Amino acid sequence: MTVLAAAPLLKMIYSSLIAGLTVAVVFSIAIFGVIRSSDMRRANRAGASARYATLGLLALLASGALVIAGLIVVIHKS
Amino acid sequence: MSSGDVILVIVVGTAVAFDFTNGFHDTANVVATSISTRALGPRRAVALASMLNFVGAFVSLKVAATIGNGFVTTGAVSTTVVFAALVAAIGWNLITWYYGLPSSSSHALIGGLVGAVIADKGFGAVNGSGLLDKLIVPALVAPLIAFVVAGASILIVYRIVGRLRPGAVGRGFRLGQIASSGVLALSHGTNDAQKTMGIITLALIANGNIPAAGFHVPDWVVVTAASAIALGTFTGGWRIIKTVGTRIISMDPAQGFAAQTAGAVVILAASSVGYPLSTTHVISGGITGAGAAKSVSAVRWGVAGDIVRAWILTLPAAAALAALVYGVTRLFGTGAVGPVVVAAAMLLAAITLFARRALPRVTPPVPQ
Repeated sequence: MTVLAAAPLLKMIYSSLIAGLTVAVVFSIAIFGVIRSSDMRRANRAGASARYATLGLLALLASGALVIAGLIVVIHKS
Repeated sequence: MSSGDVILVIVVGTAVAFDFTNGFHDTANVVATSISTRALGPRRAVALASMLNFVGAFVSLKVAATIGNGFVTTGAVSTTVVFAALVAAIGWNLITWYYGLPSSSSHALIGGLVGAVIADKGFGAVNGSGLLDKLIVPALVAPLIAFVVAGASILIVYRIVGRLRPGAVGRGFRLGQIASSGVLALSHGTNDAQKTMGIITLALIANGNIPAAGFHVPDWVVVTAASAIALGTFTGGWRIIKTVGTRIISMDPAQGFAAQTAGAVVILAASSVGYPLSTTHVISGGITGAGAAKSVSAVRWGVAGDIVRAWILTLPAAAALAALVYGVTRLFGTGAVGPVVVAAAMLLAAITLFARRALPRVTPPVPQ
């Protein structure tokens, strides 16, 4: 394999690692926020519930943005 | 109609058949984890994958061009060579499908093309560096990356949500799986349907129907290939789904999400740099990684080993099969008789194989 051919391979490796781990972390935070918000609401802690709900919502939006970014990458293949 | 046109019609029919087998053989793997974790019911999962594969086929033609001119010299390809490649790829797909092994249709097709070209023109017509840089190295590296990404992801996921209510966490990740399997199916459609587009276009060029300069895929070829792969997907490859979804590891929804996300990002990253990847390879790497990170003993390494053996065998086996098919076809001369005879024999073999699979197993009565 030539040196030039190694560049796209490295790009594929680091892009996959960064994107995969980012999606996993962000979506996990979304689930964490939603579930903790529900738990806090049950414990009558409205303030904490709202904070967790905001965290969950923001992370969920970020997850959606990442999915859309992925689709844009697919479309840009053309 | 000239004998060249007869061969072309047979090649197009065979290519559509290959696309169909590709649909039920490969694409179902995209949704296997969703079915395994019950994020989606089998029918809904397959319908979603089928629809998104159809849509994905219209997104790009880059892979079609790579299949058409990336691995062999376009001028060295005849319609008989394309026919032999397709028959070998279908044959290998059916063999691995019969035994429930998720090998790669892409590699079967490319292996078939290379084998038939070697049988016809010799090794000089093969683009060795193209094969190494765009096929072999990515094929080895991509499943490993998916393995690492899925493994690292599941460790992080468990750290974040590990102390929360399991039922609620499972519901959350099942929802995430619907999105991740959708993206995976779409990206898969952009790659897999194009293999057939590339091979049909190659046959059209070989027969002189379209010029070789400025590789262009006709619209009817795009629509035909998209429809065939979508129909094949909808028909469903349940045996392969079972292998990928349940026999490697038993997954929870978080693992399914990690495996699918890893698969999706690796395919997208590879596509962005122009590598035609096998979704089967990548998703299997992701599933194994998600399982091994939780517990190394949870992975049924024997099954994973069978899958790896099928991967390693695919290129040389498809190439050898294609060379054999090319040789048998040429026994009948250069006209249309060879392809007609081989196509009829292949059809008979395929019907026999399907009939054997479809026959109900008779269970002997239990003695009282």
